[in-house]
Amino acid sequence: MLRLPPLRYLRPTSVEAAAEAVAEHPGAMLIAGGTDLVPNLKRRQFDAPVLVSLRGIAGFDGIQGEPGRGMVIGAGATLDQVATHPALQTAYRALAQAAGFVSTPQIRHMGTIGGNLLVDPRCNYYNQSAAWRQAVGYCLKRDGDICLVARSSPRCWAVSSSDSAPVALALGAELTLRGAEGERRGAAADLYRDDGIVYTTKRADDVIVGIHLPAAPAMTSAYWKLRRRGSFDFPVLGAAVALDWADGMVRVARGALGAAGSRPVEVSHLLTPLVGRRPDDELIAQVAEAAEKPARPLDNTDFSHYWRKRMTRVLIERALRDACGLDPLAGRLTAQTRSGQAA
Amino acid sequence: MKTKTGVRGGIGQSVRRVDGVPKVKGEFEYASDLRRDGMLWGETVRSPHPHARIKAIDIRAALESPGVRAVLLAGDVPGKKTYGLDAQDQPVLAWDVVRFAGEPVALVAAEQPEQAKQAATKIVVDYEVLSPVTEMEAALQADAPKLHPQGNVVRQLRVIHGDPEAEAEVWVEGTYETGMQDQAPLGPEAGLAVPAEDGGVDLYIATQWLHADLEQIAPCLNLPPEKVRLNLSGVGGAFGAREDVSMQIHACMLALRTQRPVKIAYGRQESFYGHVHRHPSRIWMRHGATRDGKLINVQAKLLVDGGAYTSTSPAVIGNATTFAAGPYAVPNARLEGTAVFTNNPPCGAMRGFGAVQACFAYEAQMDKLARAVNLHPIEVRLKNALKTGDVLPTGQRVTGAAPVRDLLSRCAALPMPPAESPLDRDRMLIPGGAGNVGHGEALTRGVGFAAGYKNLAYSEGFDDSSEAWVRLSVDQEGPLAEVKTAAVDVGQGLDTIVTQVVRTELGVQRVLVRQPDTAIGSAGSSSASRQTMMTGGAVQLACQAVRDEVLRRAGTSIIPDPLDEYLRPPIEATRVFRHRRTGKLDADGQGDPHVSFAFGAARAVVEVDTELGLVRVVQLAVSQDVGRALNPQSVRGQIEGGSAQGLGLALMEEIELKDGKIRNASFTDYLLPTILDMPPVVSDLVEEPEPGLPYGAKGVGEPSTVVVPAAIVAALRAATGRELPRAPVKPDELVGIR
Repeated sequence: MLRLPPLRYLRPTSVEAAAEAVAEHPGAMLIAGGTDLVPNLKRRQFDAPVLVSLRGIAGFDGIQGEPGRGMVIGAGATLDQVATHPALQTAYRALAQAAGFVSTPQIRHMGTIGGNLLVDPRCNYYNQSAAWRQAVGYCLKRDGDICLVARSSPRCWAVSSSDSAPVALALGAELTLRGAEGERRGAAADLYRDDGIVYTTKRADDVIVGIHLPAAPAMTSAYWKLRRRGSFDFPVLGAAVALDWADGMVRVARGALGAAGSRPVEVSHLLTPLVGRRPDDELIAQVAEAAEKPARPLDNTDFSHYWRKRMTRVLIERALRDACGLDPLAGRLTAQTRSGQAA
Repeated sequence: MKTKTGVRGGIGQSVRRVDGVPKVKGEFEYASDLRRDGMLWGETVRSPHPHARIKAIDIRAALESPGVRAVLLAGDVPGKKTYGLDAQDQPVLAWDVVRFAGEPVALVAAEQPEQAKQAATKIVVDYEVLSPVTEMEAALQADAPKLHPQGNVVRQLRVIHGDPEAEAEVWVEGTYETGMQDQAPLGPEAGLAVPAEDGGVDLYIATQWLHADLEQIAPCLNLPPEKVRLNLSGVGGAFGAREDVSMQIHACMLALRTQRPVKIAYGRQESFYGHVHRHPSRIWMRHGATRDGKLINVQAKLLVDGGAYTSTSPAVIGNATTFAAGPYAVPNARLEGTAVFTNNPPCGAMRGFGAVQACFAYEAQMDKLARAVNLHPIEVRLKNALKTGDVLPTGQRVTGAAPVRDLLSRCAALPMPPAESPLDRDRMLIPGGAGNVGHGEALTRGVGFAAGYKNLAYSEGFDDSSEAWVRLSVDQEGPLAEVKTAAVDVGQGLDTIVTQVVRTELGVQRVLVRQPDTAIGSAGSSSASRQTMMTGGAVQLACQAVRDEVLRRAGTSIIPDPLDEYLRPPIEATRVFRHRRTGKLDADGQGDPHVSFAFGAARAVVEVDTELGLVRVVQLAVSQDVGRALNPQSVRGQIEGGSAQGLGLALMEEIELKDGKIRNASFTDYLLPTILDMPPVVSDLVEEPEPGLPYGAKGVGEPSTVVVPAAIVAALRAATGRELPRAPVKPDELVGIR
């Protein structure tokens, strides 16, 4: 069985104290639900001589507001709370979907939305035990000096595997971070760096406190997650889109892809042809074609990366059609099935 | 039957499992739960290389590591240095050469598990890395490095039947492949070895066959068999993974050296390295038939990858080859099978045992033939279906039940799932629905069929008998029947079946099944769908002997009621059940190799999202030849579980190897189907009692696993028109149909 290394476990009762505890202890890491961190630590994917728990902090899990005036989600809210909160079922539906698609009910009751935004980028060569990694000669992200996915690469290509991260970008969310040196607020997009190892701009002592969703009474959103099984899988591709509407026309279009690079890959700039339009089948197909370009899947997750690349267009197209409320079956093969003639 | 009035839970009833409630409540003790005061923890150091020469091993730092009580190497193996179920060619601990990545090289025992792990990392093995042989064809080349003294062929056999040159009007041909599947029992390997005062050792172990373990352990420990006592611990699934020895000898060696109890418990990753897998296969077939679809000639060349050591490869390729023509009457055939050594992980037993790979190939061929002669897939199979009295390619005549026609017609007639519009269903019922990747955009549906068969019990002359002891006594609560065998309930429900047999034979309600150990004679393995017939048969014989004594004492011809006064002193009997003798194959593969057969037919309905290549299996319908269902609910459970494992092989389960190393040795990367991936299984029990078997019951564990992968892939071919020669089918192969 895999076991945790010896470590110190601190349980402060305020965000400030947590930030200070991390700042005081070199190598310390924050832990909330621990559903990503603990198994990774058991496999010795990193060292953490000190864990600073956020579970002793009161009032860290509130979900407040409504789409008309914006919402604030406490970073300690569990994925289950986010998935089932009534105010998150309309404009911000994509976030509830993303939280609800994570793993299993048990994990969703332990894991937090703040933790999910910070899922350690995954790779077939990294999310393995020490013995396995030794057998393949270690990789850049841990103990080695080459990337086993792209051997000549100077950087690590571990894959951003958070379901909520692309949604946070698509919804235009902002995050409040509280560190030992004070509090600051910035766009969720600014949290992420395009590197499999140093994948955030966050300092070790920065605690994500809140997720701010902008007021968006007329927004629609969708998150689509590609995976092998009906449950219990990390994404091999995720498509998050959010469309803000005015007079039946798209006013703002934002989107991001998950599991398509080392950070959530923003594709909003490629969705601009939708703005000012009432998107139809053809326009969405064109936009999806263009929006797949930034996806750079490599051979380090489940399924072949060629297929994941090919599927990017399909997933974006479907997510956009969903957000536009278009009939999923229009002009499709399945039209036959509709009249009950299949098989 | 002789069930006394008022006794509930005899054979034929869906009796609740005796282990069900404790398992659901978490009170059942599995081997990983074993504990003993003062026990040490054992850890295994494994080779990171698939092929290397060991130049030196430095254990000094490990010996000085905190809490360490022993570090053992190959030189410390007290007796025979190798073990194995067939050829004993697998080192207890490697010396000189390692032949697969994950091969055990050293052992550590320490006070705490973490100390053992720490010490294990301090053992320095100096390897000279050799280039691995990882491709089957490459291993057979004349200039390939010889992995074993005899070369790289584990077993080669051919079955020549009729005139293999016979001409046919229509020929169809194909090459098919299946991947390496893991049994993935939810309970990883675990056991506890306790040194005994007589210099021997008591081993508490989760296994499939106590006596085969014993036969391999004792010589390696250099102990007489009576000084090695095996006691069954709770088994969390097996499916073939526990047929070979894993940590048994290691734990005993550490216990004997330290004179302390030693526990070894694998985690999931180590479990992937610690047991054998289902053989990957590459199978070429050519079927010749008349223009109206009657089979004339079947040609097959089967190649399976046995990995680094022999394990049960000879029997697996024996099965695959002798079954290669399928459950059909074939007048002429040439079937050639080869199992090869490579530096891949060793392969051996897994549910279906060679019959699965063969079925995947011959059923794809039958569909090709159906198209070539313009017949429905069911029609072409009916036209050729095997029946009692027919002769198999080995020359063996089928003497028992062979209801292949019945299975096919009944399976085809089972209710179809409704063709509901995707708009009218739960999103979960759409391919990829749970991930919100499909709302029904590009669905196409397909239906596929497969028939297949599998031998019951061990073959080719093997005498796998079973012994049972039954004692009938009386206490304050009345009569009590106790049963003991060495047969393992691996989760299939054997203890419940045994209880049912005793109730039926003795008319006694209270039955206590004692924990198996090696103090009684062998029961053979809980594999090859054999325990219900073999141990069920032994228990039946012992019960009949006890009953005869009751009748003698009572002077009656039926069991008296009440019974109590005739049970002082208690009555005991021990009996052995043997199946009929089988014989080895001759040089042309002719003989009488198999005891009996179980047949099955499956129909799969699938939906494919053709833009994504994602699949949802909508329904599986399985008609199975069960002889007689002793516990119908248990039989249906076996069919559903076997179908789930078949679905895994068809769609998602594969150990991925790169240069001989397992890439996905975890449940994060090796994906098993969950309940959300499983469709409803319509199971249909075809009861035609098998002559010569107790109650006419056939083994039921394997046929669904044999036929379901072939049926699912056939349905995918029907849905997409693609060739799909390999399982598991990947979405890449299904996308892009318009």
